[in-house]
Amino acid sequence: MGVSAGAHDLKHRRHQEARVPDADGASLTAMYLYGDVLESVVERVPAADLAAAARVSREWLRAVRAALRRRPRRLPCLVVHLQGPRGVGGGGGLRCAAAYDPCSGAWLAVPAAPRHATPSHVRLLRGARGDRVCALSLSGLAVAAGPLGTTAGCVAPLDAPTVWRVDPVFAAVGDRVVALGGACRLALADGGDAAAVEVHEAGGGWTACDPMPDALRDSAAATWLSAAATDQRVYLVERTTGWASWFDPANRRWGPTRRLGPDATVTTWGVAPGRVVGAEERLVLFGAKRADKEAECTVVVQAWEVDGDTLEQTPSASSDAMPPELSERLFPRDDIDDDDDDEEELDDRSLSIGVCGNAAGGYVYNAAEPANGAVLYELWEEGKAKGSTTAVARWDWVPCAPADAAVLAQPLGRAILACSPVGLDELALAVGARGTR
Amino acid sequence: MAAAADSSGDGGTSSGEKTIVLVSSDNSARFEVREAAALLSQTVRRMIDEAGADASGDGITLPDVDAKTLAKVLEYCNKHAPASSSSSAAEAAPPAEGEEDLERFDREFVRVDMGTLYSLVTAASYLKIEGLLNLTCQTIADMIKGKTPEQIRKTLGITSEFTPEEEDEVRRENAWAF
Repeated sequence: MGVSAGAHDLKHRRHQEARVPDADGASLTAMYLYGDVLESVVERVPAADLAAAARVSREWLRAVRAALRRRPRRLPCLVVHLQGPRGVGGGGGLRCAAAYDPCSGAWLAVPAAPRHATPSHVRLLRGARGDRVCALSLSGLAVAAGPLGTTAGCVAPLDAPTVWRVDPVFAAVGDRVVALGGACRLALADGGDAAAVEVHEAGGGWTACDPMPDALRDSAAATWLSAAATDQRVYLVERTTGWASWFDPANRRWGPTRRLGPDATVTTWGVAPGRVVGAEERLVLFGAKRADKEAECTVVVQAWEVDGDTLEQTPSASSDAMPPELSERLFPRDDIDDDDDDEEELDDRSLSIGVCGNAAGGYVYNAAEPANGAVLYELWEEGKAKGSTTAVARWDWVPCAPADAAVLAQPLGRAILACSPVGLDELALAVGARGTR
Repeated sequence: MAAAADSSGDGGTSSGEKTIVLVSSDNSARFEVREAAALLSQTVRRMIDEAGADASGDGITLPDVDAKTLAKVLEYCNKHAPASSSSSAAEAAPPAEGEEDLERFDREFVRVDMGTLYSLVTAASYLKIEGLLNLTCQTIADMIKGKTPEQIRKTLGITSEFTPEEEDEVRRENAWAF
């Protein structure tokens, strides 16, 4: 006696028997493409097309929702905003963006916005809900509404901060925007402070707050500070020394100032929001240093988990090192065949890492050479870090998008790396616009 | 398990390799295939496990797969089956053919009309053949790339029952559903 099917897998079969077989194309799809089968197909549809797929029919919407539930898109996208030099394409600076979707492992190019509609020189605004680009001018601060910087409208432009700033750290915490440091020393009024801090309340104007703590005062600019924004605070870490502090814009107060230095030989630091455990916010601190000369790879990148309130390393966590093959790709060793003189030069060349991320994960890159690529890190989900003492659950490589490398190769080509969750709709809009050209 | 099936009378090829008989849903066709090829299907694997010592020479009936589709599916399995016929190594062992050869085969394999493609994807889903499921689903997913909902409907012949209000709601949901 032959063996026949068990009670499993009959969801599809039962439906099939109920339908009248028809050779017509329309009902052919209806006969086969639904339920488990449709879900399997939708799982393989790239992120940029999921928004369109969800609007095809009720059954497709159900399948897209099921696919998203099965593999939730936790990790934020890496968004690169590129600014080319003037003269490229005739006229103002060329600005375009690209987004890396970690779930599908693919880069999506966002077409350059029409030049007259958007400003050509933008800065980074860190936010817990995602980084944005913004444009600062004497008349105001305009913040892009979406992570790709393409949405036509901006959030209603804010007035310019009262202190004229050339290189501030901008952060969005809840409904407030915070401008820290970066004031132009030449333009300071008497008694003005280069490390001045202002908070813009929703619907209100800018209010001055206590300036940055002394330890950060000398480096009060975006070039020197690595910033991370969470739902409650802005955390600042000085890139070379490791001095850190945080600012709470709701209560307008600064937290403790500490020198973070779990490893004294680290030469460059970067910080990103970490997990939220219970009511505590944590940070992930990344540090890079040159390894011993005998070591396999030249640069070692490590990650520590730091408590948000006290800025001390969480006692249970141990440090986590990026796999050497990945840090090797970020900081490739120059070919120093046999010239002994070059060995001294090696130590003098300074390292610089950049970090951006949110509570689910983020990206680490070589700030001096962003075209090398990036490393994605994923943090443990709440409740899943069973017995693990490290913060980072997984490291992965992110290749550089080819278009980026071309822009960055030009002199004065400049890139801003940001990180934000990107909605399906915005991905679709961005890619779709390319198709209509 | 191997020992129990041996005595059931499943035929063997002249080289002594184990074979399994698979029967289509309408009982019209019987296919004798290498065990390694048949075991690419998790469903078949499970059926054999469940049958155990009761398996007889009648073969395994697959109620959801008709003869034409089963023939095509087995064409895939035979091509992708590992060289070794030992069931434990079947998952880990690489297929007997070269990779480029297989890619070319796969590309040609899915050049079929929509009806056949749909039957294949349904069969792959039911039989739980991962490679074939990947291949067929990816082929259909590629047809949707870069299309608007209206274009997708036209390509695949789907009618939408969405009311304009429902469509707007979906659009709004997509904005935060990342």
